[in-house]
Amino acid sequence: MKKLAYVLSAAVLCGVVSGCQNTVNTAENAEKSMRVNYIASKNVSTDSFIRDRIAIEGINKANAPGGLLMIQATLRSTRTGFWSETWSSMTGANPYKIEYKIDWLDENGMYVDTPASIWKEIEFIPGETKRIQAVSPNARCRDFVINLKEYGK
Amino acid sequence: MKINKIAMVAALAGSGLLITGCGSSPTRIDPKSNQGLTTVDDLNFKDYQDAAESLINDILRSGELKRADGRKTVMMISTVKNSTYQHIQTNLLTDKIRLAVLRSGQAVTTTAVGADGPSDKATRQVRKLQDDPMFNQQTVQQDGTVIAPDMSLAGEIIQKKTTQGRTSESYFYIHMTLTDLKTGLAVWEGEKEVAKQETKPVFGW
Repeated sequence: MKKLAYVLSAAVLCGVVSGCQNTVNTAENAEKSMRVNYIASKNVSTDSFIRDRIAIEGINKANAPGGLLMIQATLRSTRTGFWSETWSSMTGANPYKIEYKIDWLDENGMYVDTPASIWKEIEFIPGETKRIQAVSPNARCRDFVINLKEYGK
Repeated sequence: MKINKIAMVAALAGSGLLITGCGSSPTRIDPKSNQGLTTVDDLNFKDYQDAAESLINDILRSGELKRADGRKTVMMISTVKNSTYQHIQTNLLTDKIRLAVLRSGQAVTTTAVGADGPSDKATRQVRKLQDDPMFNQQTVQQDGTVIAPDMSLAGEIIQKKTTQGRTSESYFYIHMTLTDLKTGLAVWEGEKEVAKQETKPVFGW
């Protein structure tokens, strides 16, 4: 009887906790008119926490008017669903904060420093999609690396 | 009486240990990381970096610096008005932007002209050597060679403070404009918002 009470209490608690969750709901036009130039990406994930919480939906590029390369990475929080949301809430990971930094490489593979290459924080509500953008520091930069890590680590 | 003294000394030593136990020794932090201090009333160095990053990407993406005739745009740094409650070194923002603009290869900045006078007085000073017989006059810079700016970068930082109970909030609005000096038109405008909030504990600081 006592065990049943514990299980019921736990279930109610989980329900209450997940009931407090904020998730993002979206609506968009189904027939897109944009022409997105997606590029193939190679992802190396060393952090299972980020891998399980954030999905890189795609990376696309465009040329800025001044001849500079413009990139955009679309990231989505995958922590949706009852258990994920409950766990995120219990561990204080809602909203989930990460940091990102974009490094630029020139045609010889040399790192190009820029004041814009800093660790920036970004916050995700479960289910939220965010886009990070950057412009290459000069026209010689053709390659880039997007670094992701948990906030404050 | 003696026991009381011993107790007091022990208590003092204990509290001393507690106090020193709360401190930390100075350490260097990575200025590109998020390890810096965050205060509500001020713009911290990370805020300047974030604002500069955002504005740099925006100005470079706009393509307004690129000239059709192939010549590099000459940009002057004008005034960034400080409309906050704090003493703000606006150079922390403009220097990052001018550095990125220069490295982009799309424009160069002039140090000979500025809203509050030139940032480098040497351009004018060296021309005073034209009357100095000590110098080989063929090596002295002549008048009429300095390039005038095509564009001007200016801006304003505004702060709005709000307090409700133990919670205080600061909102900083950073607005920058790039003006074509030929027409006086702003060809680019960028903004960055910084909002900070903190709730003081009931007891303590």
